[in-house]
Amino acid sequence: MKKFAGYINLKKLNGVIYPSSIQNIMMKDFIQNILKGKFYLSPTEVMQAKFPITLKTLIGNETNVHGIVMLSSFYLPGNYQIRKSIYKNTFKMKKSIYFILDEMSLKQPSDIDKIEEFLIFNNSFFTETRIKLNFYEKSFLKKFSKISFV
Amino acid sequence: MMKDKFFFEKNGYVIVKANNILLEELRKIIFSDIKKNKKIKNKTNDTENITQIFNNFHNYVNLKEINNVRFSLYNKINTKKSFSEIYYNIAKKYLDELVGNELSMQKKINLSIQMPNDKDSLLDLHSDIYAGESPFQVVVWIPLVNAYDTKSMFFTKPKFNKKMNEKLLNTYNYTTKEMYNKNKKKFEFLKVNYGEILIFSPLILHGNTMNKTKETRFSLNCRFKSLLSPYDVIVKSHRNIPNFYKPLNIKPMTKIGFNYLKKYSS
Repeated sequence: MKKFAGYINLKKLNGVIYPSSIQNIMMKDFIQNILKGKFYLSPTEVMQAKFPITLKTLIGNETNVHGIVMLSSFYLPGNYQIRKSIYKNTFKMKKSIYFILDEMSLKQPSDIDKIEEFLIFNNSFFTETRIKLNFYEKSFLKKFSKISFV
Repeated sequence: MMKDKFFFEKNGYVIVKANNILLEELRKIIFSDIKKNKKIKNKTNDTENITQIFNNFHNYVNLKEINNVRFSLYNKINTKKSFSEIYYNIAKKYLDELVGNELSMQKKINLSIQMPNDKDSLLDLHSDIYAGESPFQVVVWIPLVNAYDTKSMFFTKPKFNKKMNEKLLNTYNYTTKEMYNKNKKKFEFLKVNYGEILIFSPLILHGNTMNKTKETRFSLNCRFKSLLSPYDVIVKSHRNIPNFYKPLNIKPMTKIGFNYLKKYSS
């Protein structure tokens, strides 16, 4: 049976902080029921570290697993160069990464484009809470004020 | 189509004709699972027979089992990629008109099974916006049998929605059940036949009561919104990508534009 490690990250995932216990349950369920594998361990990323040292360790040869499971590609490092080295090392170590909520995985080089495309949605355009309209929007919407329901 | 758009803008919902070939395909997927699961023998897959079994589903399953059956079906339909594609295409022509053609779609399609006299599957008066859903989305509600009277959902009559919403948000004295019971005349049960779909705004108050008809209702619901419209509005919730929505289609100019932003914004 193939072994998979979970990877816990406690930063906000588009506004939501998933407690480590919940991440653990979700990853364990995914590994056992979807990947039909063995749940190995799930260390937590060092929040204060400049580089994702925990993720690098899981990908490295000292961790004997077939792949890594995390909640989302939004947990990958924000810097493209660092992400690129993560992708490269994953392939070098013949490992794979699974992103549960995104319903995506990194198994081959062609998956990189799909992941990078998906990361568009980690942009503040999509993640910021819209609280008010600007002046132009307000005046533009005046003529549609009847279509409201609230 | 213009008529549907104006009706929607005036009422906050519209009932339209579904793509029937795809709808039948969707229904057959669920029916095959049920047939296998409940060991229903000697029954053909023709429309009339499927309708009959769905309507009389309470004769095959008891109230104690129903939630497990529903949950198992829910998991099955949501692991089939084709199911969500069919779902989208059933309503596509109206979604194009009401929302747009670059969309995000709710990741999980919900399944409701409302058996006669089931007190445990009730959804009190609410509007979806109360649970943090985006006012930019629509709900596409697809009945798999004719829905009418208490077998259907109640909706506020449009002219009462504003007032009812204000009352509900500011009341200290009433429960949602009491609010509904005191204002029954302000609501109506929508009649949506099999072959039709209901599209509604999350701002419209709705809910259901105990199904007092002699038939079971099977229905599906799923949310769609313009990919580039706001997700979290006024309050932050999980109703966003990747927690609740998935991008359904990303147009080339969106990719080019955001990749430009990504490159030069940091």
